[in-house]
Amino acid sequence: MRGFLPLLVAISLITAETAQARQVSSAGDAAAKAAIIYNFTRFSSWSDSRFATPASAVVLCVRPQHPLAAHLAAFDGRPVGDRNLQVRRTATFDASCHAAVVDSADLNPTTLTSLARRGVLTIGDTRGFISHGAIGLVTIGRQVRFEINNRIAREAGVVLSSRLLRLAVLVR
Amino acid sequence: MSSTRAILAAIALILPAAASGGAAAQSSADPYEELSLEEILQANVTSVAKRPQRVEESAAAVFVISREDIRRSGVTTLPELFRMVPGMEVASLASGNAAVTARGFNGRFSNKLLVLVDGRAIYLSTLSGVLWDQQLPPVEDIERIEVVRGPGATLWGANAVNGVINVVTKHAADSLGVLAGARYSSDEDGRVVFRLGTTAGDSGALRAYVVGHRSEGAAFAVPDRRHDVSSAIQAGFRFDFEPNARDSFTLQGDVQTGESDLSQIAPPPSAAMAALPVGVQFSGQNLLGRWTRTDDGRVSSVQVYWDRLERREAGLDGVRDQADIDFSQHFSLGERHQIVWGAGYRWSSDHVEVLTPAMRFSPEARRDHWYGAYVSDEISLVPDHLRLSLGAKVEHNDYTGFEFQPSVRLAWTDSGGWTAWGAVSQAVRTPSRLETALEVHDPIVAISAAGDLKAEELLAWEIGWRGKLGPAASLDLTAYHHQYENLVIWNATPAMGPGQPFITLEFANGGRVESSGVEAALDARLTDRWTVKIAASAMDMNVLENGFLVGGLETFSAGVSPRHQLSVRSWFDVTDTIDLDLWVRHVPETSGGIVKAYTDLDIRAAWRPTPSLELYVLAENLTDRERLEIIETGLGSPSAFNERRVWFGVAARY
Repeated sequence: MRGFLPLLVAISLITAETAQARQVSSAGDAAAKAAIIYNFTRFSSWSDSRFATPASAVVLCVRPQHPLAAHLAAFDGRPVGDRNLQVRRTATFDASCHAAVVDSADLNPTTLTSLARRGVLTIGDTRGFISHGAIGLVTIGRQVRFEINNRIAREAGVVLSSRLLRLAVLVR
Repeated sequence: MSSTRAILAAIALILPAAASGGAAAQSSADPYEELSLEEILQANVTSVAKRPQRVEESAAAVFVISREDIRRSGVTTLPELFRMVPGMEVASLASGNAAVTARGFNGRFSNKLLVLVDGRAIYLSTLSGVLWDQQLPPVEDIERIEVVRGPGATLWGANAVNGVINVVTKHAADSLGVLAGARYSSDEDGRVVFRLGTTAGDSGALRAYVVGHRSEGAAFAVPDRRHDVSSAIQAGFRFDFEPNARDSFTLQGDVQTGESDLSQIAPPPSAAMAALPVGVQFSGQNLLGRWTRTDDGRVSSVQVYWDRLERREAGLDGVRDQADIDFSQHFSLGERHQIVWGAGYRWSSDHVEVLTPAMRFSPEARRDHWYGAYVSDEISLVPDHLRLSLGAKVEHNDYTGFEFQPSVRLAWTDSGGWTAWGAVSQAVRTPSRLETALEVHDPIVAISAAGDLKAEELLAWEIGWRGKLGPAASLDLTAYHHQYENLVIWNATPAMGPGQPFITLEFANGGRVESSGVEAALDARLTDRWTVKIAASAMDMNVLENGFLVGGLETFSAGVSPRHQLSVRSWFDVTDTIDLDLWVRHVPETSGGIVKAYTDLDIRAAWRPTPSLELYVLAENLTDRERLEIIETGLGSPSAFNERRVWFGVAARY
């Protein structure tokens, strides 16, 4: 049991450091989040009526000033099933978006619900996002995970694959 | 072997100097762009190089059992999972025990496979082996199992001879909410699991679980089979805490207790053994802490654990405490060198009480110390293509003193997306406490404790190829040649005069074996809904020097290991919510035909009426009503009749 003394010292050092060393998400986190969001579009399916032609792109909307916008742009043109992804940096979200990365400005139940009614898969990055949004990224320490509200995704007419549902830390 | 060591050591010293200088390595683009969702969420393989690495790039025979492999197998114990790994041998024994090895020498105490759970060694040096009935981590909590066949001693130390297995459990962030599962079988076996996970502030997550099982079966015995019941319960927790961008911290622990009906072979080999109690009782507790700090690409980690186990079996009542502290670090040196180094110390104390006057465990109590250090350098000879890894571990143990375990690995990664690799490595198996301490005084068969035993040595030569076959298939091929020396064998001395035992046995170094084999794993996604995974292996073992009992009974027998094995798994998504999976395994006859060949079929059908609820039926061993998979010789455990059974299960997650 003497071996645990260094461990206890280590715990107290880390805990002491927590107060001042609270760091915001690094570039690595943002890149990981953008890649995870790209995968959300790959494991979601929209009805054909949401697309003009069989070759039309899946449109992912994000506000230009959103911290993830630049990282998401790297996935513009990447394949999403038989279609490609179009990352649209826009200030207005409407029914031409298949998925939207929502920021704090849209974080009210009315906006989120109306986006879902218009067939938009809402994706957020704040705690408790899935009370009114479809997929919420959650960050625990340095681990990026996601939660799903499948009822809201269905309301938007989006079917999430079982693989995505299985990887979610919480499915409602 | 000593000249080979000298050559390896010389290569290890000369080559790093030769490799320095030259063009800079290409910087890769966004590291996340090419990864699958699972890969982004999970860490990569760490067993081969003790740093995160993609399986495709590792220069060793590595196989990863993923969450999906576990889920779709329907299996709930570690040994059963290993049946999907090419080159591994698994045979069921009574009371939840199993004979598990890679690349030969199977038996209940097959002693050449190092096994760890989250960095905690469950290989027991008192016995040189793993008590599989005491390994009860809930499979629901397992992130992945990294199985490396072939020596891993350069990084993992002694006893990683024929392989090293790392069971990696999920980060606590991956087990939030409630999980409840239960299953019940046609022969009234049952298992329940309950898990609770929660976040702890913004930076932490915690889970706690309890899992229990009870099984009933039949064990091989002469003249007739014997009823066999075993049960166990285990509870545990894991807390992960990442307060800032640099530090991550894990604290985890488990407690367990269990019992079973049978332990020893029947009929007992001697009168003394016949008088012993037949049941097994065990318990165990462990606690592990790990602190990892990342600074500018330099990752350092300190891990401390304590592990206690108690077990009463075959007239021995033992308790073993073990404490271990380990430091490891990896970093880049210049543009061409990836250095991994570390040092560790382990303390172990045991006390074994003997419940019969016919046996002695001498000394009854013993304390042992291990300390060692290792360093490994992966040198990029041709950036992005040719990599050379040189490494060695120097380790001291109280039985054989210093042991030097070097390895050289070379890998070529082609622009075409495949990797070819070759390796030469050495590993040792250190003597066990049992081999040096056990004495049996029996009028028929006596065992006298061994004097000084040397470590068993392996020199292994391996080559491999791994790559994609088109967009939806991948192939992994390995060939090896193993040369073993100083293997521990029974030395039998016949009676010298009246009143002496008929035969006296002593452990001694003297066995020599050569083995060669090939292992293949093929994964193919045939359609969007249908995936097939095939594992195949073949092995030829040549015993050059052996030890014999009367009647030609050998210490180890090449015949125990199947000459070839095949496993074919088929995963079919009938719909997005219905799975239909098959698993076929073929193992030819072993032990000269005493154990019959078998072709096994498991079928699993699962339905998820909602994303958080799964109902399943799993039918095991459909082709045989029952079968034996191994006949143990020596101090073992009876074989179990592996029976046909059907499981009905439910799992819910909220």
